[in-house]
Amino acid sequence: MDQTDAELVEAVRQGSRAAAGQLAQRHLHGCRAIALAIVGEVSGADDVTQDAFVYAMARIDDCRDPSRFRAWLGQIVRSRARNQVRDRKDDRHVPLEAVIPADSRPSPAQDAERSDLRTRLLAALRVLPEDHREVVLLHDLEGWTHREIADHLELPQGTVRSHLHHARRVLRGLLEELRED
Amino acid sequence: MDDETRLDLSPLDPGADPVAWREFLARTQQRVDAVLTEREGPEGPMLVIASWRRRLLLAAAAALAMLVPAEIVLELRETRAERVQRLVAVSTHWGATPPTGAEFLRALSEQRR
Repeated sequence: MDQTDAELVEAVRQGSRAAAGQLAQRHLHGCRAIALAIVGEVSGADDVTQDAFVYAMARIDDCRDPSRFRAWLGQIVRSRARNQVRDRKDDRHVPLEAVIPADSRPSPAQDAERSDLRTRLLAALRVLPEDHREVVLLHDLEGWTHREIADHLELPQGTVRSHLHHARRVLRGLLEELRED
Repeated sequence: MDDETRLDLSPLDPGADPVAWREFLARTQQRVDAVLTEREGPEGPMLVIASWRRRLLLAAAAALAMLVPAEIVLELRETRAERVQRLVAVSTHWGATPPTGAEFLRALSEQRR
């Protein structure tokens, strides 16, 4: 059976690298969506995600309620993402694309198509308010439930549903427009 | 398509490129390993002592738990024995004549001193 977050946090406190790896596997996807919602571009979001996770591991003793590790980590990601938006000069991280060997990447045609879709999506997302972006990314990309998002953003579930509805409507319209252009 | 249908955001999914994502996780893990090693720090003599502190405290608590009741029992026994000794001394002081109450109290307080 999978260990709970609380058990993994305790193991990290005892120095377990494997437990830290499991927490990364479990939560970096979600963290990346949160970072992307705030930073608005992929390499910056990767940067924030990695830095926030490393920071969290270094200060694992500060996680007061290990069963709520995801919420605690999410707050670190949000805070660091906002800092990065304020100060875009911080660039210690190598972008994801830069370290992948050319032969393991998708073909140039696939790459170009994917990149084009990504650019359009990111452009459309930028039009939305930050909390709407976060809701739609966590729900439609990461598969979080309304309840989980409400808990993470400290919003009523009804507000989350309304943000999601609004975000989808705006994004669909914008993506149509961008496609026509 | 209505607004209740999930949007396809897969171009933003880092997992869509598994090799890149694995690389990303590996580099994150490397940084985490370095941080955890730093967190452990060198095992100096103070840290060794600190790691023994808990065990020493437990041993001291166990010793106290055994010694305190034993000490109380000994104390009670001693007090009872002292009291008997004092009464014997007081009663032999007057021989056959019984003392007055005041004399008895004075003798007791002298014995106590």
